[in-house]
Amino acid sequence: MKKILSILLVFALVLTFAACAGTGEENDSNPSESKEQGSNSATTEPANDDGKIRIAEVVASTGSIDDRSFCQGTYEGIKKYADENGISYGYYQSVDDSVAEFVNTIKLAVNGGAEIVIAPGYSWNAAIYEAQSMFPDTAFVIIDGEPNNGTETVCGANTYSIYFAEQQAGYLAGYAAVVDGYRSLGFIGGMAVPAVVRYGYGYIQGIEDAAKDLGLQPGDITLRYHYLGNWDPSPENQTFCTSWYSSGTDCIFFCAGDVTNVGMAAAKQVGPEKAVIGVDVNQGYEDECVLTSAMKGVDTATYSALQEFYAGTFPGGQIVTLDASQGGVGLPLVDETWRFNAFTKEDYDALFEKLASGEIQVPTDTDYETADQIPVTMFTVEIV
Amino acid sequence: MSYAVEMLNITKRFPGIIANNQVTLQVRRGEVHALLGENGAGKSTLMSILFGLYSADEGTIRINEKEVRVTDPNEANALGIGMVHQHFKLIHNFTVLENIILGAESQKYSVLDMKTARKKVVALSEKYHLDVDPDKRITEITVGMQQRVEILKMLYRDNDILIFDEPTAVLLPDEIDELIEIIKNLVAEGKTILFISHKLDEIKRVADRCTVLRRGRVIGTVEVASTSKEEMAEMMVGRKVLLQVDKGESYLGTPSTILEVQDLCVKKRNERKNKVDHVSFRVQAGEIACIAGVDGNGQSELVAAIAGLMPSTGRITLCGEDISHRSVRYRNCHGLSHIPEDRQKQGLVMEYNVAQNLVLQEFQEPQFQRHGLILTGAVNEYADRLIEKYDIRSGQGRETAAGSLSGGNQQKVIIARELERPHELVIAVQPTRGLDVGAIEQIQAQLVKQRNAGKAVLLVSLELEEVMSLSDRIMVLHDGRIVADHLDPKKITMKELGLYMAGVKGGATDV
Amino acid sequence: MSEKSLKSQKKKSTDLYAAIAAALIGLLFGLFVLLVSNPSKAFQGFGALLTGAFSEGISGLGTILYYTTTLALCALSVAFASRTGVFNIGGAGQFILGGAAASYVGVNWTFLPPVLHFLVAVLVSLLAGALWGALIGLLKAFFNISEIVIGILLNYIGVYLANMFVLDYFYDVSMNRSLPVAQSAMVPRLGMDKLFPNTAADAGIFIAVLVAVLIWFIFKRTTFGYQITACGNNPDASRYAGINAKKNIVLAMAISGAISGLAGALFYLSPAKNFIAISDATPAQPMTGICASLLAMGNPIGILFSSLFISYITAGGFNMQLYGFVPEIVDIVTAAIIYCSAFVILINKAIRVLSARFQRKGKEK
Repeated sequence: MKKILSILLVFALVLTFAACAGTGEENDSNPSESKEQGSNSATTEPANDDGKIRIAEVVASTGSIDDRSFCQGTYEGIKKYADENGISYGYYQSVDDSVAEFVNTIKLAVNGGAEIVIAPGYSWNAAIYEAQSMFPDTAFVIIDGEPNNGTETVCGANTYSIYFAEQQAGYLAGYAAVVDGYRSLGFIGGMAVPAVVRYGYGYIQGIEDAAKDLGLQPGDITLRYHYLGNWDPSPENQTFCTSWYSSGTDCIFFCAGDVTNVGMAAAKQVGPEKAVIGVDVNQGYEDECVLTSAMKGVDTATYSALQEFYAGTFPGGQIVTLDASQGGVGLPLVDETWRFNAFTKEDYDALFEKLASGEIQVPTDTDYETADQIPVTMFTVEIV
Repeated sequence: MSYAVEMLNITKRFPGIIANNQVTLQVRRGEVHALLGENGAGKSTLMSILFGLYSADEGTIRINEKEVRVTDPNEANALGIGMVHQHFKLIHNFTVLENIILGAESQKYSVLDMKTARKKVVALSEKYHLDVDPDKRITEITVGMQQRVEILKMLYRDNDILIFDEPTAVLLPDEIDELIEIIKNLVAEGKTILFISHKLDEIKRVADRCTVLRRGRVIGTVEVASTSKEEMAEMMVGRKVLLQVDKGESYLGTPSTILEVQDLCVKKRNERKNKVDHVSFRVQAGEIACIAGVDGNGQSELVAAIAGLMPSTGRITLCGEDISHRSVRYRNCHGLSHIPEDRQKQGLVMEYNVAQNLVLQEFQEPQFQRHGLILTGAVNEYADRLIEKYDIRSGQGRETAAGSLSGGNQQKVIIARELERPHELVIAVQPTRGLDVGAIEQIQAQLVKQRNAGKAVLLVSLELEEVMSLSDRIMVLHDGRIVADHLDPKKITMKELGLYMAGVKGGATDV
Repeated sequence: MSEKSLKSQKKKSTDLYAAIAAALIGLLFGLFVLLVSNPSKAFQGFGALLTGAFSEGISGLGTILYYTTTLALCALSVAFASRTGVFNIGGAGQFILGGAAASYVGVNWTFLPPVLHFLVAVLVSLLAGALWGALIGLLKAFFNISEIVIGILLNYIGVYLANMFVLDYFYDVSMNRSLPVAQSAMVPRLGMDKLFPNTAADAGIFIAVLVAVLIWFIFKRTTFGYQITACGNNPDASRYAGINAKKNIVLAMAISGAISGLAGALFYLSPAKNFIAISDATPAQPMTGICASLLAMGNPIGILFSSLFISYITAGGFNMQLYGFVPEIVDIVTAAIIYCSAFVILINKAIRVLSARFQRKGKEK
């Protein structure tokens, strides 16, 4: 019996040594700069040949790179820039959503050769706060958040923080939906986090303004408003969406991560007339039932941040909010996903111009505590 | 003389033991051949090899003079070998007929051909005087009848080598007589019978020849007619054995009632009928009172109620104190010792070692614990003393896990524990079940010693011989009621006792 | 005597061999998964898995110890319950409720001085976990409902209850999680941060070791341990011996729950974490704890080492991302290793059978 054990042991040891030797060689033999990574096909193969990943996205343990939303948008921006310029890129996922693990993940990214680390979401605030001083030679971009340790915000010279005016995107979506003829509307948010609340408030204002502009009567429009308390594409959530659709709601704006996916399924299940409004990225490619998407330019913002970084004009130390005037938010104009009938691209351009110029002001998350406090006259916000 | 079965130089090993060591068994055609041996002598292993349940490591099997390889029971069947197992393999909510044809259904156009099957079963039943009603469900017939169904199963499959594995263990004395009759009929029709038993009486009555096994080896094959019971017992055990218990003088002190049970009823949940039905009796100091009865007539429930393991109504008095509503622990601490029916399930924690098992009730007593900490030294000392005194044999002394002891030594652990703690009453339920003659002798002697020391002993046993030889007084439990209270083992015959147990006779007290 | 001790030693060493063999088989299986998923980088990845935990030197041990704290306590909780014959799969509920209760104290009871604040928070977590565990014990003991069914259901109820509790009493809207725990209630570092700089290491590991030793002692020496082990091994015999099995089951489950609650407290009160995210997912540590407990075959001291091993694999696996293994593959590999390790009982049996066979052959010669 001891023989068997020792054989096993030796076998395992040999493997271990082989493995270690392998890695050592790999690391030492090729210390030179990265090679070009030409082909786009190997997108799931983030490492370059020398094993260094120069542009890194860090993802929370609960996030995923293909969430068809926020993290994905960031990654697409990275991918686009990196492919165009032949720079290696990749992503790292943390083990847990604690600050320590986030810092560990950033550490791993830096050890893996990252020059610039991009973190999507406010949950990275504290980790970036620590990391920016721990790794002064690495650049950090945080999207929808800012370096904050819970008591103070310090945006280091190597950190660039980007926010979006989501309320404007929500406004556009709500306005367009009403103009296009939808009267029974809904809003489903994942949780009442600032970005979601901004989308929701803008959506309400957009509906209100469109109803007024169209000369509708108060009561012509109904709006249901709900935060699910999670971001899961679960059967429970699908049932919830179905119940809304089948009880008369025609168009629902989903700000709840992957819930959009089950929302689409629910819409199709109930009838072809039911519509979905997507969020963050253009989700119109996913399905015919997606009327439009309230987008924020996560990908373009990421892209331009990278552009500036490699041009040597990295806007470190800045905290910016990208709105319509900077093209940070909007609806997708691609013909393939333009599914409005009454609402035209000319209408959109005019509306967008008003937002960009500041002619239209949209309430934001800090203006009201709950959605039903927004002063609307054409309908009541029915909080579920 | 031709042989129906020949098993030549069979060896079978299991991890740690050699179950059969160069065993040779030759059975002549048309004889009743007994296989005698203590538990663990290798009888069942040998038969399982013949029936295809195990394969032998070495040796050859010849059936009707032809060498064969039996790899599963179906092949055994094809060779004409059938077996009545100790635990019947019947489906309870099927009828007798359905059970008999199960696995050997005759078909007509792929539809069950019950008509032909029934004809054959009825014919066989008449031919061998089995008197089986083919349409009764198994649940509706007696254990004796169930055994006949098993026999019919073999006959239906045209088997002519029939193995009976301890067939009398479950039968009443009357039924045993009838079984022996049936076996004789079968032999008369040319069948060959292999009869496994460790009961010398039956072997003497039914068998022509007898092969004795001891510790996996064949001790010899003898002509039954010319060999005495004592000789066979000696071959089986390896030394001279006392077949009768020497009880000595009975206790002569003032008889006082130790246990009194009044109007005791036990009902199981979801059952309408009382399992124990208005039972009253007393047990005196210095006597062995025995509760006889066929298994399942309320003995287990009665004992459980007295020990506090099952809720009951009525009154239980122990040494003058009403303990009806006391906890198990209270009863244990106030004079009750209990040797349980199932030593592995109830009596021992198999994963615990001998020492731990020896203090199963007493670990909370001040001599074995202080402030919730077990005094390992005291426990070990106590254990070593008991191991010595009760001759408990084990591989690693007190450190041996109870599960790795032999059955006899497991029982000795329980007996040591129960008899060493302070007590006035010993309830012993089937204390010798499944043990070999040597261990039985020791345990019975211990119980007699208790009686002679003035303790009350309540013995529950299914073995009539044990009942007859050990007890001072016999009570018979039938269908939850005491049908006889003061039978004197010296005056009553086994046959009479059997009638009480079967519920035929009853109501009478004092024979 | 010498033969006796030799034999019992032999049994113990078989257990140890089996555990080591199980871990090795797990590793080999992990390598196999790597080879299937990406042959060219498999060995690099495997190397990262084995050495990654120490890629930054000895300070990596700090991270491992940090993981070990929670994992070992969860495993101890499972081991304690299984001694009574109850499979505590409800650890997740006890864990999150213990954590939530401790965090509540940690956030709100700032009037307490440091250290005492932490101790009170831990105490409250023990109570919360014990309550949730005892509930399983009660239903099991008095209504004979399967502890597995109750445990799983109570896990969900526990998670939602914790969410509700956080949302109502100490919720940080802007971060969608609980408010941060006050400094005074955090698990003390006791110099672990000096020893293992820049890691999450704190004094929790000492508490875990203490609990392990305590449990070992309870089973080894106390009448209480004797009773619950008897109940677990043979409930009928325990009843026969007058041991109150129901009481013991409830008590053991309460203790098991308390240990899970403690694990939750040390996890959520650690300076590295200090918040509870609102999430519908059940925490993973209690489930991994089941594996750690199996790998150690319920031995409390063994659990410390099995937890250390699993933590080491987890820490190492994280580093595999450096070689381009996507997190999903990393999860599969680490999970495969951990779950393979749980085959330890099977391997133990195999070793015994094999060694018996070898011995016999030797004797026959």
